Amino acid sequence: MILSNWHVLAGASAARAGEPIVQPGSIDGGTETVATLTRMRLDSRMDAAVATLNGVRSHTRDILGLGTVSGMEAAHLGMQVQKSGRTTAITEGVVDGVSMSVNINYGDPGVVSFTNQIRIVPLPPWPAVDTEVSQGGDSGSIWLNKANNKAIGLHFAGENDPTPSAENAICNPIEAVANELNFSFLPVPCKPKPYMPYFDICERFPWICRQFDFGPFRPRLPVPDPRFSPVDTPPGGGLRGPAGGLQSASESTMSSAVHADGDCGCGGAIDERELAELIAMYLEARRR
Amino acid sequence: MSTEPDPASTEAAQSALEEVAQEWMARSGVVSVEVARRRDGDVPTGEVGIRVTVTNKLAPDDVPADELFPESLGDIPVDVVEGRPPEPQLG
Repeated sequence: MILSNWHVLAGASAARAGEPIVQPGSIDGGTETVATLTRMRLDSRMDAAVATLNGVRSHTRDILGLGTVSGMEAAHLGMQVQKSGRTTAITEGVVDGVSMSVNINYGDPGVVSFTNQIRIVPLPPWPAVDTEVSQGGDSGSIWLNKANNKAIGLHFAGENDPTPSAENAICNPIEAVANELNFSFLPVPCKPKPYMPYFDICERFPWICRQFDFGPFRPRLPVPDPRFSPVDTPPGGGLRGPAGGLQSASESTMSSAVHADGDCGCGGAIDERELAELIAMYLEARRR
Repeated sequence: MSTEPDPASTEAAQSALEEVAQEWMARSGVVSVEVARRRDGDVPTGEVGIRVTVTNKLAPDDVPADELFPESLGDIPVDVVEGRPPEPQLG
């Protein structure tokens, strides 16, 4: 999956799950669809969305220049953090405000009143001189605790004030985002789903249907479809573009590849003897 | 001075802010309210306070009495600073 902001992956009130996600973003000249919009949320807690990769592009779980996210934790005042973004690349900061309420104008959906947000300012020396902790295009970056590479926030907003002492970035607490959008930065244990998806056994194994003399009866048994491949755990965050840099999704940063329960196919193979036994059990159950 | 405030101070300020955040955000010209590191001039300190960011900071005499922010909430200092509203950082 791809994690970024609602205003990056969705971007309009009319956006619906299933819409194509191109990478690099259209403003950066991208045209190739790499994912489809899956889940999104723009409310008082978060500006966030996830998209499901379609497999046309290889990916890594590492964030460009920062490595693998080691988990999640809550931010606290004074915590030193870093992010890797599409515009300002790697920048370092320190958590300067928490439990923040702030109104932000989104244009199309209007003003959103956020609560419990996190403010980040540049690392000392302070105030920052000619330092941008973030700029337009960095939305969707993940702020990591420098000490342990745990994610603390999903970057979504900042100021456009040229005054050095005003430089700051704002992010959503990452744990709320992960809970709401159902993803993890760590590999999710694969849970077998033997009943997903269904397929017609007589289409795949016609000799079995002939053997049991099904006639016009064509049962649809809960058997995993062998054409449905399990999703492998990616070897390592962000999609990498042709130049090796972290590229944008719509116009900003697709932070990293994340995992969700729904990523696990786990259909697995089934041999024909097991299938015959399954059918016999099924027919026996029908006779009772 | 350390710039890592102690957690107890942060929690006390969070509790105090929770009581007033909604009402303060409704006041004219308020951009944000938060629990923040206090600053000595431009430099952050290890002390925790409540920061109110407004688009245009006025002298206390120019603010209507019912919109004037207190200097503190109990033991928690309140700082009013000027700042622009943040924006989504799309490219």
